[in-house]
Amino acid sequence: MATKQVQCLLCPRHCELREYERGDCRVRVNVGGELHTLVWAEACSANIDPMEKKPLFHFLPATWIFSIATAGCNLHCKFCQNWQLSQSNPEDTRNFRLVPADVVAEAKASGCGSVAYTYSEPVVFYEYVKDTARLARGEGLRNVLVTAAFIDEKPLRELCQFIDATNTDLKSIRNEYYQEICDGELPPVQRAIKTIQQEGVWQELTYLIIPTLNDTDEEFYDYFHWVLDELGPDIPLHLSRFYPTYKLSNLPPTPTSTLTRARNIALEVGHNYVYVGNMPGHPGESTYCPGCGATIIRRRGYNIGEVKLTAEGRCLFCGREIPGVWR
Amino acid sequence: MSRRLQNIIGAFTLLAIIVSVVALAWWAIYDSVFPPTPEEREAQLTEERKDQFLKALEKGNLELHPAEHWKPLEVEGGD
Repeated sequence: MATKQVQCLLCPRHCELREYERGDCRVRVNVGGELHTLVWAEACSANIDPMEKKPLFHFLPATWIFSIATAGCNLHCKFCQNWQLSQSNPEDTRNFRLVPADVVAEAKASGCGSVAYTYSEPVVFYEYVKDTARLARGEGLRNVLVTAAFIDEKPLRELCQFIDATNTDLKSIRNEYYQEICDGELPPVQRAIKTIQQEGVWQELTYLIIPTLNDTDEEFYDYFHWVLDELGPDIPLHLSRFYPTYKLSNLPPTPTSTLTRARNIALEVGHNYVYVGNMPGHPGESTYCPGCGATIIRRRGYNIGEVKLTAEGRCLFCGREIPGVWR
Repeated sequence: MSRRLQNIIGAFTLLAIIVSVVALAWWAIYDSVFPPTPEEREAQLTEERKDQFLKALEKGNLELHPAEHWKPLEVEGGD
């Protein structure tokens, strides 16, 4: 008897699904020998956020971004801040129907210049992202993906055609970390990060530093050298503070000294734009010109102070071009 | 009630108990005596998954939308 099995080719898990079986992501299901998604237009969160919250520091600073999510994720990080959404089935979250045209209309009505696919994992609501992003771009809006980039190359390249910027998590430079803490694999994430760069999408990286798990000098050097070698010195790096949550509530928050040490190592390795996140008031929140050292964007939390950039994104003091999407 | 009627009722009650016990025992050991074929088992599991899936759809008031990036797998038999 031939069974109606299918194989999902969206993410590196390549789930093989029998009839009525769901993928590891909880949202893709085999019905009648065809794969379907359960979360197209089934938003479980929609908010208007500052761009700095994504975080994106070199992409339309001090603007608002309409941010949506659905249930589900294809990783299972023990430190997930949004585990109530990401680790839930879509029938167990409180959803509201928000078709792509609604998203675009809401974004425009609320004065947002862009739409973010965020909070959980946009890879698993791929079709919703793609349809919305296509429509949004047609209406003059930009599209931002906040992702762990655990996705296959072909779907990623297709999606990049509609995406203007990503904040991508590179959670560690150790495969064991991805396996043990996130139930994933590092190499596909590294490939995806390079693909996003190749596709010309503006990209910033986030490194959540967790005490005892990924906070040694050796790991910092390996991480920053890999990024420098593969992506260059100008990609903004966000070194983010961990707060105890979900399955890692036994660990303490990341000490300020660890974040400062990591930032110093990144600068020593040769990175030009290294930021400290989730720590309002840290000097590492602001942007400094690598040419003259002047503070060109002063930040505190999500608030922007003075901006010393020309409209073309050059330092007002020395004229050096600061990479990013500034308007 | 006559003794004769009491005996008849008692006999029927005893018979009903015996039949129930035998049926219960048969039901309990049936699967090990006559195990389902892989095809029957697969069909049974598919039905169970379908039932759960339909309940989930109803609970979440969810709609199906065609997914991209997948391929059919040609697999003979069950698991």
